[in-house]
Amino acid sequence: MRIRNALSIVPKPITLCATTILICAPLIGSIAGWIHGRAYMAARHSGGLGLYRLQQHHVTDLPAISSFIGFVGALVVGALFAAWLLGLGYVYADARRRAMPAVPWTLVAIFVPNLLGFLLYFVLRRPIASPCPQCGQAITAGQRFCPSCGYRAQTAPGGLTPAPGSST
Amino acid sequence: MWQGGIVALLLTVFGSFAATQLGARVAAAWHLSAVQLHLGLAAFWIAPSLWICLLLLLLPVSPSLWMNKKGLTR
Repeated sequence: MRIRNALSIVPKPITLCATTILICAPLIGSIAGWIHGRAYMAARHSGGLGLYRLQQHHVTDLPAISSFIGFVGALVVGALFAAWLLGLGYVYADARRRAMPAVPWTLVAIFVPNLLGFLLYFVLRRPIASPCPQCGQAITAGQRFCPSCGYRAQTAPGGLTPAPGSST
Repeated sequence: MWQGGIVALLLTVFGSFAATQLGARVAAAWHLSAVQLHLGLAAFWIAPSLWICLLLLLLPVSPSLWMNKKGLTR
């Protein structure tokens, strides 16, 4: 449920791109594996590969096995890449709703190695910002005034509550 | 906060080990200089990772370095 909620804020193009990768990667992997297997079979029949000539009686369906290995390998790699892409989309969207600089944080998540950019983001992220009742600009929990229009607001545990009789 | 530092340390150790192993395989497959590849990995992968790890480990103690008792920056 939490994962579904997290995925719901990821921008649609990123979700579409990750889904396409997840679908296309196993297909490409299985086709590449099939071609690879066929190439080995051809080399084996022509006597180019001594090692495979020894295994001729044991491996009769090399293209199918190679295609299956390619399918599984590409599925794993594609799933990891799609998950990384969805993570980047989540960082971008989550940083925006927390009134943090979204593009720099996404770049940090992309370029800091060993996934430490994601960890850094989750450790340092601010509380979720509420929209200003007057101008709609994001106001974080610690801010008493809207940074855009100067609207005075009191922060309560439940969220943003406007102060009575205050508009500037 | 310190849990983040521990996770960062673990990610750094295992991720750098995996990157080094993969780098060695890539260097062997593509006939690259293994020494140069390891130097590149150390400069652009392991060192930044260690810096971030150190930053995350020092974050819990860092506010005392630039804030007074009221929590205001000096």
